[in-house]
Amino acid sequence: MLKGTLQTIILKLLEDNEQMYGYEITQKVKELTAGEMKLTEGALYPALHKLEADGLLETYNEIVDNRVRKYYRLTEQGGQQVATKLQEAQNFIQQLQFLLNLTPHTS
Amino acid sequence: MIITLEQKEELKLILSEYTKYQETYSEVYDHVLSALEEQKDTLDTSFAQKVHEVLDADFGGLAQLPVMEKKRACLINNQVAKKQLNFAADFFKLPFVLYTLIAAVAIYQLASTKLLSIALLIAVYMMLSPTIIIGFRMVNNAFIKKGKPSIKNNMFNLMGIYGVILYNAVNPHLLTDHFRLKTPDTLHLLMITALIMFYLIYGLSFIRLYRQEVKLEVAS
Repeated sequence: MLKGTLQTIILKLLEDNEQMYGYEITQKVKELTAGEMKLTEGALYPALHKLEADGLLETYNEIVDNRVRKYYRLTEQGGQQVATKLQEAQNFIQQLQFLLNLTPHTS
Repeated sequence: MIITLEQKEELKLILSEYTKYQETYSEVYDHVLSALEEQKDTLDTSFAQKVHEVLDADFGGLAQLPVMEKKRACLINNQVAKKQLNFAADFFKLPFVLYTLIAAVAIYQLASTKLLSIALLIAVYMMLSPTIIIGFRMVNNAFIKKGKPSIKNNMFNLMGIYGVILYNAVNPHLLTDHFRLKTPDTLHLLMITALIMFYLIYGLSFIRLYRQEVKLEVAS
């Protein structure tokens, strides 16, 4: 996965699902990509923690089956960032496609 | 699979050894249990092996947990310090800057009279407020049985100590000299004013930060 895209994926997932916990995010990514993409090697939590520290996500705890479950959701600032991040990702993919000659240039 | 109480205790033991803070421990514990609950019951691998498989796949192994935790503690500490700095900076922005200016002028005027000791007393109290607040919190928490410490609590405990360190570092002979001088010059009065203003802003920004964090803690 390209650097920075994981944060965009998390923000988009949380925009669509309102609130999610760590494991739920990994499963959702797996489900949406039919198992093609797996968030492994401890990439997810550092990204979640970074987004939280940057003020884009906020957390709250709930007790589920006698254990603490930490849910993440978008802050107001995070909500505003989703569109920008998605646009950035889209532009990047487009540039990559041009670079690799995957799509013809239209100018 | 259905996880028994004994297996949950086994998982707690494994994680306890590799995590220092409550935040990491509870998040990883919930993640591993959620992953195992969705797995099918198989007899060919032990519970510990299954736990390690999840940890290897989703966290890069047990050894990565302290690394992740350290990074997280660093992020939280920076976040809290930045917040306090922003709160302190607010005192130099409208509308707070007006109060700051009024306080500075009042302290400057007081500095040339014997009433300075009152302003000084309030300022020193403000400067030491982190230590006082955290001291009370620590005493209070001592009676509550808790597991691992939280990153934020540790950060606040440190801030309590910083209050005293800053007080001792910033409080030079300036104040003791002041009471010995019969007619302090303008530079001396300005330095006294700056020192007291620093004490006040540091204390007030800490109180604001603490109140916000406590609110967040109660909300979560």
